[in-house]
Amino acid sequence: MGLTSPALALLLGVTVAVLLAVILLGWGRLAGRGARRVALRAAVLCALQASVLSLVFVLVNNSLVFYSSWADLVGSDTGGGTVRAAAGGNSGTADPVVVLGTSAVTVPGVPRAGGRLERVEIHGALSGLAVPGRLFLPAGYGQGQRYPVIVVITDQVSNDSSPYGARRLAGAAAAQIAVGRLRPVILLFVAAGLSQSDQGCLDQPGGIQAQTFFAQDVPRVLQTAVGASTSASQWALLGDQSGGYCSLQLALDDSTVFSVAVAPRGSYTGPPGSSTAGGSPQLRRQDNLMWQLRHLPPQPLSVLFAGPGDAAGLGQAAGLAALARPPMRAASAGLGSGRWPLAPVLDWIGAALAAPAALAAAPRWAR
Amino acid sequence: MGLDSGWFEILMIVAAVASVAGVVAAWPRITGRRATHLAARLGLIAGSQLLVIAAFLVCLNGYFGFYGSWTQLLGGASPPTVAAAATRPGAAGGGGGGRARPLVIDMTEPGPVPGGQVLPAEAPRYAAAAGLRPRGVAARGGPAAAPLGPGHPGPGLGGLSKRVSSSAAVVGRLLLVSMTGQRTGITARGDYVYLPPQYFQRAYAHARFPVVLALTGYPGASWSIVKRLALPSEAVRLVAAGRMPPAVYVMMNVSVVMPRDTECTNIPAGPQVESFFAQDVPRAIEQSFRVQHLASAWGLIGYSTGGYCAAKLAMLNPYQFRSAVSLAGYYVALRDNTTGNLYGGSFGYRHENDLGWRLAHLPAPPVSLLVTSSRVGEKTYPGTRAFLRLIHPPMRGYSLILAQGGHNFGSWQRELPQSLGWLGQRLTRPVPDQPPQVLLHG
Repeated sequence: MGLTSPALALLLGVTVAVLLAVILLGWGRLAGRGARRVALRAAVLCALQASVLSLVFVLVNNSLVFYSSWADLVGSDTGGGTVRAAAGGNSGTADPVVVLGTSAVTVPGVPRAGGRLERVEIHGALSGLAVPGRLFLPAGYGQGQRYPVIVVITDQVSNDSSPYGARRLAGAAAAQIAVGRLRPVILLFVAAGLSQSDQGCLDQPGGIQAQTFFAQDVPRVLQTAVGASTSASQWALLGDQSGGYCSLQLALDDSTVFSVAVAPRGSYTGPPGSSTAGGSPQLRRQDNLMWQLRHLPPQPLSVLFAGPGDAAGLGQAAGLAALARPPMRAASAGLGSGRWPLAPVLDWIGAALAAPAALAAAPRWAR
Repeated sequence: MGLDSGWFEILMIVAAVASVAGVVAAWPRITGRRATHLAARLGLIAGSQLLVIAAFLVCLNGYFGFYGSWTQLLGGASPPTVAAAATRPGAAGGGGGGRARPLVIDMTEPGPVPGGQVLPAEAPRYAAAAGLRPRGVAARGGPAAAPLGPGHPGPGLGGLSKRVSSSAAVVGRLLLVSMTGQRTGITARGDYVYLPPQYFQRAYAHARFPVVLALTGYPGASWSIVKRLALPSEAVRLVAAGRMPPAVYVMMNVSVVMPRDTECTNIPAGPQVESFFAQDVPRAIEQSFRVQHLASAWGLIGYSTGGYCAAKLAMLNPYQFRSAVSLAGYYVALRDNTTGNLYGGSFGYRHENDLGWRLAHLPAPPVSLLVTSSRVGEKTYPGTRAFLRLIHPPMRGYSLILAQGGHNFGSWQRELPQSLGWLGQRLTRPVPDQPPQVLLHG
C-alpha cells in the first residue's frame, strides 16, 4: 500500500476509530489494578496515540507531498537523473548601439574638434526597448580606455536653445575638457519618460521597463560598446525639470550603478506627469522620494540641486536635502550665465566623480 | 524556552509520556456510566493525544529546522520593515559614514574535510553565537562568541582568532555570518559562508574565487544547507574529483523577515528582499572575501522557495548572476497566508514576479537555468515542464528529472552532484598564482 494512497489514510482512520471504540467500551473491564490490566491499558493507549500520529502524518504528507513513497521516506531511493539541455541557446547578438549620424563638436577658440556627437539608438537587451538618444565622445576618444559617464535625462535633447540640449551641453563639456577643468567623459542623452504617459523611471508594473533600461541595459551597453567605466563611482545622472525626478529615483534605487545625481530644486513627492503606481497605494508611496529617504538607509551618493540664482538656496528641495545623511551628501549650485550655463555643474560632477567615497580598508579575509 | 532548544524537545517528550502514564493511572477512577465520566475519559485521551502530537511536531521542527525561534514562528519581534531599518541604533552617527558593517563574522569553525567526515556534529555553537537559542547543547562560546544586538557590529573580521590554523588549508572554513544590506537595511543573521581549502593554500594566496549563493526553502534554516543538503561536503568531493572549481559558498535563509514568506520580492513600500539578495549580499561578500566580481563567477542554487528565488534573482539580474539551479522550485508568483500582499495590490507587479509571464512578455535574459523535479512524487513537475517550454534564446534551460522522489532533502541530495557539476562548468575558475606542476615528457 502506497504511502500517499487514500487507502492507507482510510485504513489508519478505521484503526483509530476501532481503537477509540475499544477503549471507551472496554473502559470498565480494563480498570482493574493488576499489572496485566495496567499493561493492557498502556498498550491500547499507545496504539491509539501511534495510529492518530500516523494518520496526521499521512494526511499532512498527502496534502504537501514531502515524501512520495515508502522508499522516499526511509531514503532507500538512489540514483540521480541526467541533465538535459531543454531549450534556448544563443541568439544572434544585435548591435546594442546603432549610430544614425555623427557631427563634430566645436569649441570656440580651439582649432581641433572637441569631440563628436552621435545620433544613436540604444537597444536594451533586458527591457526590450530601443531608445533614441545622443552620445558625446570626447576629443581623443579611443577604445581600450575606460571613461566616466554622465547620463543626461531631458526632454530637451534636440533643442539647441536649451542648456540641457545635446548640442549645447556637449559643447560645454568639450569646452571644460579643453581647458582641463573636466576629465574626458562620455555623455549619453536620453529623453525623459520612455513612454508618453509616464515621466517616472521605474519599471511600469507589467509594462515599460524603464528602470531595467536605465540601471541594467544602459550600463551594459556603454560598458561593452564604448568603453564606459564599470565602477559606480564613475557614473553620474543629470536631469532637468523633466528628468530630475528620474535622476534622483534611479540614483536612490541603484546606488550600485550610479554615485552622482544632479536635479533641479524640486519637491520630488512624485514624478512629473503620471506615475507608474498603477492604482497601488504602496507603489505610489515609493514614488515619493522623501518617503524613500525616510524609510531606507542613506545611500553612498553625491546629489547636487542646480538651479538659477543663489548658489546656496535649495528652494523646494530643502526638505529632501535635509533628509540626506552620510554617506549621502547633498549640495546646491547656481547655474552660470553666458554660453555654457551648466559649466559649473559639469565641474562639480567632475569633482564628485574624481573623488569616490573613501573605501574602507579591505578586511583581513579579503586580502 | 527556545523553540528549537534540546531542552524544550526533552520537556515536550517527557510531558507526552507523562500524560499517557497519567491516563493509565487515572483510568480506574472514572469508570462510572454518567455523561460527565464519559466526557472526562474523552477529555483525558484528547489532552494526552494533543501533547503527543505537539511533541512530535517540536521534534520534526528540530530535525528540519523550519522555525528557529518562537518569534520566527509567531512573529511579534520588532517587525523588520523598512521603517525599522532607517532608525536602527548606530545608524545615526559614528565613523565610516555611520553605517553598520555589511558583513560580520560571528563564529568560525573548521569545515568539511575531503574524507567525507566532516562537519561540527551539531549547530548549537553557531546558533548560540548568532544570538539564537542553543539547541541540544549549552553554548560553550568560542573565542568570537558574543550575542549580537540589532545594529551592534559585533566581533568583526579583525576580532577573529589571529591564527588561521593549517587545518583550514585542508578542510576549509565554515563561518557563521550576519549581513546588513547597505541598500535595503535588511539584516540577515545566522547564515553561513564556506571558504574552500584552496582559499587558504599558498598557491591560491592571491586568487579570487567564484561564488555560489545557496538559498533554503520556506520555512527553513541555513544550517539545513550545511547539514541536511550537505552542500559543502558535496562541493569538496566534486572539487577533488575535478568536476568543479573551488568556490566560496554563501548559504542563506531565504526568509529574511520571518515569519513572512517574501518570495524574494521587492515588496512595494516594504522590505526590498530582491535587492537585498541581488545587490546587498554580493557587495557584502565582495567587500569581505577574495571573490570575483563578474556575473560569470556568481551562481545560484536553491530548493523549493529557494529554487524560485534562484531562478528569479538570475532572470532579473543577469549581469549579477549568470547561472542558477532551481531544485524543485516553482515559477509562479505565489500569494498565500504566509506571504500576505507582496505586490502592492498591482496585477502588473505580480505578473512581473511570475517567471513564466516574464518569458512570455519580456525579452528572455541571457542566463542559464537548471530546473529539477521528479516525474512521480513532485507537485512541481507539471509547472516545471510548462516553464521549460517557455524558455527561449538567449536564455538556456536545462532539466534534471528524477523518476521518483518527493519534496525533501533525500531527493535534493540525489540531484546535488549533477546540479553542482553543471554549475561548476559555468563558473569562472580561480587562477592560482603558480600553475600546478606539469611533468613534461621529452
